Amino acid sequence: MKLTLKTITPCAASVLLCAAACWGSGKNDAAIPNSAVKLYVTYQEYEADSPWKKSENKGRAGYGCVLPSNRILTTGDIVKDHTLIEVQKSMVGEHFTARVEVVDYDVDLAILTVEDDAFFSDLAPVEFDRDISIDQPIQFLVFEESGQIRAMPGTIVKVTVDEYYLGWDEYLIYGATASFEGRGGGWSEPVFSNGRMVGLSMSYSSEKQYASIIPASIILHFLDAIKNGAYTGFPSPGFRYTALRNPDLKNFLGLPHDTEGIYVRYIVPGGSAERALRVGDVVTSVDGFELDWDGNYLHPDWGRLNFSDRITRYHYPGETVEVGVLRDGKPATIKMKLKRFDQSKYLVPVICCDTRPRYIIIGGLVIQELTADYIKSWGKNWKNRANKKFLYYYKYEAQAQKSDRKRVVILNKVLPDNVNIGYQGIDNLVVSKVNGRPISEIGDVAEALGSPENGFHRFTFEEYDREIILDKDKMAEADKRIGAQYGIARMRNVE
Amino acid sequence: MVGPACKLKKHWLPIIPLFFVLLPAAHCSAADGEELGRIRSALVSIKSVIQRPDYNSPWKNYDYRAGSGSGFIIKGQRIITNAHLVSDSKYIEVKKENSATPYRAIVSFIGHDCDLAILDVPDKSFFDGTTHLEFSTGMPGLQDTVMVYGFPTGGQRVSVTRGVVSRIDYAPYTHSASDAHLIIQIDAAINKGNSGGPVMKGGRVVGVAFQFRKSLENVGHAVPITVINHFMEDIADGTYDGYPDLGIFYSSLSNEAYRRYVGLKEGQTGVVVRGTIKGSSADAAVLPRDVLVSIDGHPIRNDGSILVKGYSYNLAEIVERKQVGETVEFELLRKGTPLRSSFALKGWGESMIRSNTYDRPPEYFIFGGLLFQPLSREYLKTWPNDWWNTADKRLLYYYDYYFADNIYLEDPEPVVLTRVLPAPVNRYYSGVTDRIVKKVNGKKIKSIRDLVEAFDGNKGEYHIIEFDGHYAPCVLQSKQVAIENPAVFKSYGVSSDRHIDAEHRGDEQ
Repeated sequence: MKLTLKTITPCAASVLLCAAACWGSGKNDAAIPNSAVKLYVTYQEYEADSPWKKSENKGRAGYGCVLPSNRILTTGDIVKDHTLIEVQKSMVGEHFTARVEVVDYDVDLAILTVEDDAFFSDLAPVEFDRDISIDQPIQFLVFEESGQIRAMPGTIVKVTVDEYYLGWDEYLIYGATASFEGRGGGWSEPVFSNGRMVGLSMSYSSEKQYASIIPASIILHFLDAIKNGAYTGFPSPGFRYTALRNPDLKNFLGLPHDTEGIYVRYIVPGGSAERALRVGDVVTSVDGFELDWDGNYLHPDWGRLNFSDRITRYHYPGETVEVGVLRDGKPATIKMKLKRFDQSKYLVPVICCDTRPRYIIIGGLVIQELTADYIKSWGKNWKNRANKKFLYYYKYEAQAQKSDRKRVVILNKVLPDNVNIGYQGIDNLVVSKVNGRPISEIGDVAEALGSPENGFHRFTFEEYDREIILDKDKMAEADKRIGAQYGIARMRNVE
Repeated sequence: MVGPACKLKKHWLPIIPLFFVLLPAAHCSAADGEELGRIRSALVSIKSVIQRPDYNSPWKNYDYRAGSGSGFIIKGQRIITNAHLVSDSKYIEVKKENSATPYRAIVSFIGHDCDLAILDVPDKSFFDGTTHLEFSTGMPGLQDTVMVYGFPTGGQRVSVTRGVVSRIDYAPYTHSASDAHLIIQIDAAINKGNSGGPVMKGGRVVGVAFQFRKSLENVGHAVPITVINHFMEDIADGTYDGYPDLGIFYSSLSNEAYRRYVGLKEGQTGVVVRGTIKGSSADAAVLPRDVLVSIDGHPIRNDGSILVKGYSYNLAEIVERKQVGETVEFELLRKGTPLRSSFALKGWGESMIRSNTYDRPPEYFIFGGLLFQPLSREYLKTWPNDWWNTADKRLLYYYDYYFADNIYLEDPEPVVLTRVLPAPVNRYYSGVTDRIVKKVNGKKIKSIRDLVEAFDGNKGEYHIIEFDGHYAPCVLQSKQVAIENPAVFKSYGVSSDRHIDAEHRGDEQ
């Protein structure tokens, strides 16, 4: 049985009031500008297992901070699946309605606007500081219920390149120790140091008292990507690699024993490295920086960082970077044109918010595209319990979109009705053809249903070459009946 | 039958609790005092010492453990019991109820697919003063009272339990995990130690107690007389071949539109073939999209059932009652044309990848400290805490979709790099585990024998191992492997670099 999984929130927020206000205390006591705001988000998720439905609406609260020209910066996961966003200057002020101008779930950042400019009176935009050093003291801004703003102290302990909260791509991250005094953190609290903003908190473990912070340089790169109107996003390296450590592998590849670099093991279809790099290339430098055998370049302040930082933080999609490789043992410089790799390029999308799942219900057959959200509908232990084939796709092939297979189209379940007697109980199969036409995405199903075979619709599945046959002429009436019976307002969404 | 495709989960356990009921003989309607005495002198208790191989370190066995259960003497001074009691046994002893002397017994025949075994006692003096039990000529009916005899844990003497036949149906046989046959369900608890004991009606054996359902109380399962007969017929020629298998995947035609689509006329019934397993009985004899109309003259109904003497069975029951080598005949419609197709039935063989494996040491090969093993249910079971959910996801996909996605055609016996025994020759490869080997030295690997040949036959400077998925190859220096191999075996206590079965299971046809 499948269960609907609740969104995993950064940390459970149990708000404890603390008597001592430590505003401006600590070593670096430069004044923090009055720029933090509180966000109240009402959100409603789509039910991946019953894609025509939305689950009950819920609420979450977070923080934002004011940017120049009356905009608000917050994290993407705070506004995810929102139906209403309200902002408030302090815990006692009026609520204003905000809307999302830009959101990029890959880097977990969003920009909001507020229609009423009055909201911004007596708020000051933040100034960013893109520099940070290990052991630097920082403050997380939080609102007390009394209306006061407090600065919770923390310390930067790590600068690294790692996965972000929602997606799979890796970007620069600050790690910090911080105590939120039992109230929970990671709710996009603005992070300051010396009166300037150094980042936004992304997640927090109260057990380890450890916070992950989106660095100012990622935020500034995000803001720059909007400047000329359309948001361009962050580029993605588009290949996977293995550390080139084993000396025998080097010998076999015809490389000297002291070669440093990484072995290209996979080119992501549709990504930046396609037609630029090849499996078997050894990448020795990226963007003019030499790599070690773990794929790190040497950052002057923070030491070894994964090379993808050179691509994501210093470039935009459309730009070209130089990649030094050893190809067939010979050095070469490859110009790689950078591309963004957003969810539309995934075979199995891993971030699936804000949009209605794509599905078609016909004769009670619920056909939809496989997404991470669908796999998560197996419940709490979905990573182990879900269908083994879907887990395999999710874990190993999620980015392996091909021109003839953009998505994995599945039969989720059969809603019992007279017309599908004999098929009830069939579930979780991969649709390979409909009416003999190959299926690459849900739109192909819609199209193929326009060409029935001798008055029948024929659905062919990958597993055991199983087929389901429906009488085309009975569909209109059956769909009306099934829609009414199961309370389905829309029998399809293929946009 | 469709057996190999069905997913069997572990709802069944062969043996468990201790609770049992001793019925006074006076209450026993089925056997009077004299009769009971006769039955008692055919009963034996069985003790076995079992040692299972450790699929994590396939050159080693786990510590032995002791098992106990029941059995009974049949004609010809033989003892019949459950396979699960004596599988992987190193030593077996049998004892009569009132005897002080245990005797050594040996396994003569064992059927892991039907959970039955025949034991012989070399010292024939064991049979002095014993009787033997006769088999019933037919199945018991529902509501029939039956008696279960055996030696459940908690005492030395015979225990007798009375039960009623509450269901006769197909059920998974948990011993192999990949078989389903008829069972007799009894509303009496079958307890630990009851396994292998006779289930009697009217003084004759109608079944052998063998498993119970974990979630239900007072429900025991017995191997029915039909399955026992099948086993006895099978071994009559001196070897056990096991059940034949059709190798057909079919869809029911319960849907009216589907029936019209395949060309069935009003009143006609049958099932539609989706495909056959390559190399199986029905391969080439039956084609995808054929509509199976009858089997051995029994009309096939739209849900795949047939009627035999007023009882509804799955069409597989016809095959269940046959031996390997016998023929089966289908009437079918091929593109609307009526045809007859008859063919000889083949054994299923032992599908190691999908079944529990007994009485054979695991196959493996160690090379340069890298341990290679065929993908098997036994290997997956080495994942602790619910292997079905916790094992490696790629291996689980290969296991679960082996037939469904036709993996068996391309990779009949997938070989897995399961473990790295760290040594200088394989440094930096410690994380390269649980990957499926696609090629070794450029040769496609379809079995562990292919792998051994590809390593042994390579005279080049390097050995190259390529994997399924998007991974870098593993490269080993040939000279270094040769130098280090003995040291690796010594330091990790590996007695032999390989165990490879001689026969080619995938090719037996």
